[in-house]
Amino acid sequence: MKIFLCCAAGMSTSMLVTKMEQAAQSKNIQCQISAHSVAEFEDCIVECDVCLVAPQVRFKYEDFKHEAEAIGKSCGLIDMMNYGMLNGDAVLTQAIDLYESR
Amino acid sequence: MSIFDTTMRFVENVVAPFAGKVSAQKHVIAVKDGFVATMPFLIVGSLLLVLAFPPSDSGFFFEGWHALINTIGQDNIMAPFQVSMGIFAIYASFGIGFSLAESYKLRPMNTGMLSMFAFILAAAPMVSVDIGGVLPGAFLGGAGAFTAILCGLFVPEMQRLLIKYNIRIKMPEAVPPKISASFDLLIPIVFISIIIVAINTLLAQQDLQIPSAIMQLFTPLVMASDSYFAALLAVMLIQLLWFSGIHGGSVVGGIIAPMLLVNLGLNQEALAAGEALPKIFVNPLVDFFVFVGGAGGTFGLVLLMMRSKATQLKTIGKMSFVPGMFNINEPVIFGTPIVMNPIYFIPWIVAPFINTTIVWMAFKTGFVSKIIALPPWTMPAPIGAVISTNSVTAAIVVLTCLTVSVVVFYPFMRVHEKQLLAEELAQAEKAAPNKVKEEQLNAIRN
Repeated sequence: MKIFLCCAAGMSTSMLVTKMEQAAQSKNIQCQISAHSVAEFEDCIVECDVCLVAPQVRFKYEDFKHEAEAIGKSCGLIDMMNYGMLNGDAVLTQAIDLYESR
Repeated sequence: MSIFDTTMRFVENVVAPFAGKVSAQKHVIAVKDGFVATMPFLIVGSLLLVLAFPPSDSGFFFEGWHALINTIGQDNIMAPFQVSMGIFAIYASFGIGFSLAESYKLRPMNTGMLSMFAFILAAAPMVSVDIGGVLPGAFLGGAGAFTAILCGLFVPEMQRLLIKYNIRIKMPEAVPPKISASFDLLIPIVFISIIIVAINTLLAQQDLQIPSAIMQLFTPLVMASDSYFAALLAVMLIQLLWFSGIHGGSVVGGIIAPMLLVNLGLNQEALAAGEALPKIFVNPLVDFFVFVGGAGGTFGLVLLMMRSKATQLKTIGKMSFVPGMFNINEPVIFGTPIVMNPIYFIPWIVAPFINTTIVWMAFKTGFVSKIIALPPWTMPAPIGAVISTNSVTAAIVVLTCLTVSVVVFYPFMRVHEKQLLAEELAQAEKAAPNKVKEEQLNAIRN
């Protein structure tokens, strides 16, 4: 499973990616997680299975969700509190749920 | 209804959706992405300019600096500056045309080149001299920024019109698509050549050229952009957007970027010509001075939270210290949380307001020399401030801003801390009522 997170520049999401990778490792889940800027969405959604949008760029969420679903991928919005507390566990669970509910 | 509720409703229902629409608009995105693509060149180029012009002549350090310049040769240092920052409008015209073509599903490479062609033809028609012809550079830097934007937006639109009315050279089916694509550009090139040369010829009668005419048109905007109120407006808008949880910097920054780049270009030209620097408002003013530690200037709050007794604040404070040094503060904004949290609304607005005023005064009075370089925004604030202005006093202003943030945030952080401590106590009481009671009794006894 390939997951990517996107925010304005891909900087702050990269911190969350590290936490998610740790969570995945401790749960023994095979996945690839990366962080990108919103400008890279179109290329990334082709490559990946799940896109998670950071709360500060949520004005992009509706568009992204629409585009993702059009090609059979899923897209979710990260909860503000989970984002702020860098709760890798919760966000990883959200990604897995999205992946499975396709 | 309180003022706070009214403001919040306004931000949520009017400002945020409007900002969302603006920042999702195709042309706005194309301009922003086009300029973002030129950034690495601007960063390296402007740092070379700092290297080429030491702020002082005396002292061991600066004598060494001058010796270094003499060894390398000032012209050699300036050469990469001149073809990066010095002519960045060429790069921008390509980037803007490229991005807009991408969103219109045209061929980005073709449209990018076509936009660049239109821009060079408009801003720097070649002059023949002995060495084999030169491109006049006057409008290839900051002074050509608006022309670059217009070319980058005009060219893809014109291509769309031509496609819509099916004005193109038709190739037989057997011709490979790549080859027929190269023929697609022939008619647009002819169109653009005629339009731009005609306009330039007309303008020449008034002793004008496309870029100088456009600059005259935009002069009021550029003048207005370099004022205390413009800076304050930009900062306040960023603050309001972040308070509603939206990335204010990327929305507001995308719109004001061209004007700030013009300001930077004018300062650099003045520096290279040995004149007084004219402009104050360039990105580093916000990035490194007003926003120490990220949007809102949260580094002061991070320092306060690290010493907090409330577990939640302490955790976020510790977690945010290192990212904060590089001006990344989403954990602070979303974790504390500041977003939609009434406790923090007042300091969130007041601290940057005071800091913008202080910083503006520092530049206006000449306490800090004006900005000439554009270090990446992730550089630690005091270092970025010193490099961007090439003056050490900048660090003092940064520390002043940090102190203001600490003082303004402190009482509000304490209120928040008290709430959290009460919650923590209540939770602990639920878990082990007797133990807590005993502790409380002990506390009273002692």
